[in-house]
Amino acid sequence: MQRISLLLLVLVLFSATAMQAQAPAPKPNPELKKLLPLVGHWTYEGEFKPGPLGPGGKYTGEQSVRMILGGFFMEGQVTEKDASGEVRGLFAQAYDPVNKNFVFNFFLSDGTIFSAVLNISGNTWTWAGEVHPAGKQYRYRETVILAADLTSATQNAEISVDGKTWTPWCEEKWTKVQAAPKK
Amino acid sequence: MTRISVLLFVLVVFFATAMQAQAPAPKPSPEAKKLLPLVGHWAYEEEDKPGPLGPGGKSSGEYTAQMILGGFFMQGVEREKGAAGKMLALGIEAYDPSTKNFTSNWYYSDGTVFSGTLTASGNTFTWAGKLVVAGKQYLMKEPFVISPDLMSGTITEEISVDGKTWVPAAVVKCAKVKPAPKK
Repeated sequence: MQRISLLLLVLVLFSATAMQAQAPAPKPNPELKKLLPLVGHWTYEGEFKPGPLGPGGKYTGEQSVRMILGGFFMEGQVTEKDASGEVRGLFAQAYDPVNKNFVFNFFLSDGTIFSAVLNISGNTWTWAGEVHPAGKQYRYRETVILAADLTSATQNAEISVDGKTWTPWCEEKWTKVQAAPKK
Repeated sequence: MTRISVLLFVLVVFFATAMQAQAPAPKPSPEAKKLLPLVGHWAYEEEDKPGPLGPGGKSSGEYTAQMILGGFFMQGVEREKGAAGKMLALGIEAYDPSTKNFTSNWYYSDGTVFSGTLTASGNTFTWAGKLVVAGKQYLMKEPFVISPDLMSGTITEEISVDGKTWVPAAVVKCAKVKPAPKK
């Protein structure tokens, strides 16, 4: 009887340890599925409006967007060209389950930093936050409206020095040239 | 005379346009150089303390840091193995000249997010900010003290639920196994 008890104890301990070691991996919040329409490879054409950030002008770009780190986060790599040259960028979007919103951080090869909150309502995506180019701080808000078939979009952004007076910043037209890879 | 004037005008316009197109690319702030002791390939042994984040335990990993996007930002990648399995993480450290501090954003493959600041003082690098783990928010501070030869260091991590009471969360011993490439 003592042997059986000992065997049972060993089995219970073994199972408990094994269960702890094989605890199910955490799964991404279902809210993250809202980001999926952005996944893929996009090209875009845009135009900066004259304003606090410069005289304006046309530009083109492309961005590759994918889910990373087990699907918990979105990463985008951006390349943009205008008359003054090329700028590259890297962005990350994370779902914040505490504040129940998406947090966006974007870094450009000219040193510009974006930090914003993203809200998604249907096919309308709205970023609102700050952009810090060349040691200055501005507020910005940006709206992207995806077409019903999710293969194109229009973007427009506004910028503000004080958060009260807003001026147009840029407008873009996006085209998805490569869908997200099927799994 | 008129021909010469026209020619001069055309030349002036040409050079002005050319100079605008070839405006010198923005350079990273000298402050960004403070991150350089972190750059390279590190191996680490970590001991997590029992506490709000779990029962504690040992793990080991690798941390690779490199400057990206023209040297404006530092990207870190962590690969860790522990009793709970493998973990991958991606972090971006950015110097923001408009706020005169470094921001730090880290994303982990179990969904954990860190967002805060990084302070560089001599050979001590201190991360401080919000850590969101499995839907719960904590405050974290994590000084990394690097040895004078820049080849090893120790991280002591503390967390807090309320910002007043701090408890040890982990001690990490780091050794640089590959320095940053010489340029």
